[in-house]
Amino acid sequence: MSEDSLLSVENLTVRYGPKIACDGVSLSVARGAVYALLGRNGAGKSSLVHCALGQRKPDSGRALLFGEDAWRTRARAMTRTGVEPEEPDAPPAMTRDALVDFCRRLYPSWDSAGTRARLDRFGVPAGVPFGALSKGQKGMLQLALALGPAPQLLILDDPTLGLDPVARKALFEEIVGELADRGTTIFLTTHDLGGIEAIATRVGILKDGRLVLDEDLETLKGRFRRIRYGNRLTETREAFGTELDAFEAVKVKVRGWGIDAVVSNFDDGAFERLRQTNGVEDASTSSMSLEEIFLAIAGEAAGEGGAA
Amino acid sequence: MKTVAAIVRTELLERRMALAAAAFAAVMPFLVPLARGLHGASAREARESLAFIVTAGFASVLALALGWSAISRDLADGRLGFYLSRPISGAALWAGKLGGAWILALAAAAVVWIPSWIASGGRTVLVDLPRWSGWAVLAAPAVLVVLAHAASITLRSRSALLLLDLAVLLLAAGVIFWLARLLLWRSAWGPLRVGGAVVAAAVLLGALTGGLAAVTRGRSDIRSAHRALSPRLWSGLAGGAMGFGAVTLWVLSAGPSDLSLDGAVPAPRGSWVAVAGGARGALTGFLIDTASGRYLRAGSARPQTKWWEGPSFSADGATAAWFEPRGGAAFELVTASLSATGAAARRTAFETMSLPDDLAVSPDGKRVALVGSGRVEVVDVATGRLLAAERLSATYPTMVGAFLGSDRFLAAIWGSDRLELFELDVPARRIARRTTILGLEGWYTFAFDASGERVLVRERSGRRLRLFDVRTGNAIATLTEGPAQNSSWALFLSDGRIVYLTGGDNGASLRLFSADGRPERSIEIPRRRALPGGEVAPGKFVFAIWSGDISETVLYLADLDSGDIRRVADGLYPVLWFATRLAPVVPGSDATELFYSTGDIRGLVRFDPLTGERRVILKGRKEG
Amino acid sequence: MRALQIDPADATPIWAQIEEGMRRLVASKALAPGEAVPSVRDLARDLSVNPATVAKAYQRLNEAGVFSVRRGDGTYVADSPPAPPRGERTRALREGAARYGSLAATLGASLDEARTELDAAWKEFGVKGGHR
Repeated sequence: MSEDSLLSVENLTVRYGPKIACDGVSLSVARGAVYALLGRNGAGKSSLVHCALGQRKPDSGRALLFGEDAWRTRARAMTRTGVEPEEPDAPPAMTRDALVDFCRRLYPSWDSAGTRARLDRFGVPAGVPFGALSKGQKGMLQLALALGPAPQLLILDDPTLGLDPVARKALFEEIVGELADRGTTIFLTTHDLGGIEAIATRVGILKDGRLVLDEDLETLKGRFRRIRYGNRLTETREAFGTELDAFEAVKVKVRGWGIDAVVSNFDDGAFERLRQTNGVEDASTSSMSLEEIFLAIAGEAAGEGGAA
Repeated sequence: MKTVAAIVRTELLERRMALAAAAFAAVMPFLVPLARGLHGASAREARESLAFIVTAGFASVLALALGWSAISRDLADGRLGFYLSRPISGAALWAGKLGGAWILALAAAAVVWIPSWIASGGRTVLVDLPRWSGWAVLAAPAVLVVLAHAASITLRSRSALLLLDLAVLLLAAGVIFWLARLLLWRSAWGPLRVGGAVVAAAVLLGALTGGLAAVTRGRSDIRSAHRALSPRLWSGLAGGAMGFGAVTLWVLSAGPSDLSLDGAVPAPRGSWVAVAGGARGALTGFLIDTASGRYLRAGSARPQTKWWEGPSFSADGATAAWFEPRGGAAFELVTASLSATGAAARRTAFETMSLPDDLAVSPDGKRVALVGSGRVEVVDVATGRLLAAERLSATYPTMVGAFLGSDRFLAAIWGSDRLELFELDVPARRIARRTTILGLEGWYTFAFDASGERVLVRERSGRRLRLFDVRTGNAIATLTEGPAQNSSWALFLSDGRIVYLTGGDNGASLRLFSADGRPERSIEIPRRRALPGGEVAPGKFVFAIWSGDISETVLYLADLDSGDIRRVADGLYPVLWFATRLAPVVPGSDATELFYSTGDIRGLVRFDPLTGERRVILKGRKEG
Repeated sequence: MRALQIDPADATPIWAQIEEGMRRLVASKALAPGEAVPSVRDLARDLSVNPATVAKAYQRLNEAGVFSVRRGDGTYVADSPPAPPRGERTRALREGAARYGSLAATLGASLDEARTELDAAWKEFGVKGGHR
């Protein structure tokens, strides 16, 4: 991985007893990128994040922050990193200002004015112990604490979990602001894709501990399509297999009226050829949202079926 | 450092309720005396003791509770993320959290203590505490916090490693216990304290480094934390056990040159002498060959006392016997063959639960007699089996005894007004003869002649000296009767004559009597207290005189035939001064040439009064 | 900026959508020449989109001469947005028509149906002049 990678993992494997949480995962977050790691709950995202943050030692492989081993250089790497955890974990008795005061002393530099402005924007009440805040307020406060030292790298573990739409919007505005003002590199994990799609530059999908996809969002969106068509000649499985071969179909459903397929290697020319194929009728194509792509790759829970 | 300070501040903030609880507790010492209706000094005393107890108790419990929960609970739940995702090193986190717990415990202690202290006017009537107690007060909560933190890591991890921790702990404890027993048997309280301190320090160090490593290496995984902690804990335990072992080894490997000499008992014949005293903090004894310097560790301390049970010798000085402690409360009889080429100890199989009053070895060295607790037992050295056992008294009087030949043993019960003598026929296993000498007045001492047929009894500070027949118990003669003396010693010479040595401010003399008790001669000696020695040659008797201070003694040689006395040395007195009760000492034996050298330090010296030759056997050492 | 909407789910990259949208706004005079356009940051916030994406679109628009950046001042619509070279324009129109025609044919629409839809879209974009 190049030096311009602020966060990377190489062949990372994490085990919990007999269970494998991450299996040989390799990915790299380049400077200035916004990397979204998607995966269902239990897919291994949190384990990866813990290793990336130097909080857990991988069973094999390694995690790097700013090009150095995350486990060994954790404390130093954290001077340039802001982390918002999945679960709020600040000491429950501390108030907003006490927390800011505590965090301020830990870093070589701290953006006091910006933090104050942020807290006002978020509307986190002063004088209230952390434990008594609502989940949304906790999340926003922790985000403010994470952004206080103007970090080069921002890591968000499932930031939208449990947030109402208002809080979510505030979160994304804040992230966009960070990107605009400082070009902060962002790594976030989520299984809730609302709003991420417009911000992410690169996407990874973790399924059962394996990284089944690691790609720039633009090219990903470019090659995934939904193709629908009727097939008059025959409705056997074998028959449609060949005509979709070129597209590397990911999911194919046979309906009464025809075939409904998700393909991962879409190409205009190939699609034209499909349309000319004997027996193919009314071939149409539509683009897919990131959510649909994720569903197609990560799959439903155990077994297909149900509405497409 | 400022990170640590920030975390400490956070901890104090988070747990400030503890101080509120302390404030409540501070009221208790004031309320209880009131409730009990005490007033004045007793109320104040009650309040102060209660304040002390509540302070110590509250602070200790708080320290333990905080140490238990401060880090490990969050670590086990993976909730240290708040700190770990910030530039806080594991060490700073550990120091901050546990340091905060420590300070909180101290603050709580102050909150509880100070009101009572102020009410007492800033002083306390509690018993004087040692100088280091101030440090102990400050350090104790820290120790508790560190230990509680380490313990909670091992227990919260719910890992099988805990079994290994326990195994190592039990092993170390077992080793230390076993070693401590060795020191306990020798009343080595000083080394035990030192060893205990070493163990405590090592274990604390292990818990401390382990607890730190648990945080720096465990981070979010309690099992890794435990895995990082355990080896350091084991090192601490092992180190402590080894340190204790080193202390024990150091104590047990003391030699005669380390001895602060308490006393010496020479063999009746031959160059061996049993010495005893303190060496390296423990009661220690040796059998030393004054001719070659070879030595053997021999003897044991009577439990819970500073009483040393040293070896007894056979009449020819070729065999010594003593008891060694063997676990539990048992003692085993051990013998040694003494010769010019050395000595070798041999265990008999004989064990007893209580040490006897007196131990005697038969002339051939094959039998050992034990008297005590109203019984006499004769043991066969080779097999360790009892050859004879007789109960002589239902009570537990003072007893002594000596062999008359290998088959006859004379046991004496030292009653307050009577001397009971028993002659035991060993092969027949019965009391062959029993005699009682009645009518003894006051504190008395006695001595037997070489045949065991006669006994000399000195009563009441020398007011009366009589000769008795052992067979009948009747008085044969009254040698003297007169005023009390400052010191008086009566003993048989090997030829049956009797020496009576008295000393005091009003006059001092050495009187010689025939075997029948008729006065033969009286030699005047300088007016002081006297101590008898032995015959360095037939008719040449050594004795010492001293005023009040035993460190200023003068040694004299008396020619019993001519009646002359000659001053031969200063600062020496005979080792034999006490050993006059039983069999007389053979003239010219090495025992008669052994003396204590006095001064600041008591040493053992071999001195020939006839030639003036002097050789130091033991230089001696100051106690402690 | 109400008139500019992007669909994250669309296959077209967001920067392309922004670029196209801006071009439409400029062509329809919704954005007048010399008028200030929203800053990269503001537009990103409005659309909840990565500012880098907006920046890319703006950069392309700047290079194409549709926007002009005045240092320290902001971004403005170029005073005389250039017309694309003739050939380029025709080719672009033809390609667009081909795509639309193909789509309509696939859906089985008639030419009239296609034209009706075209009219409606034209109106929506606010381009002066109706169909011919």
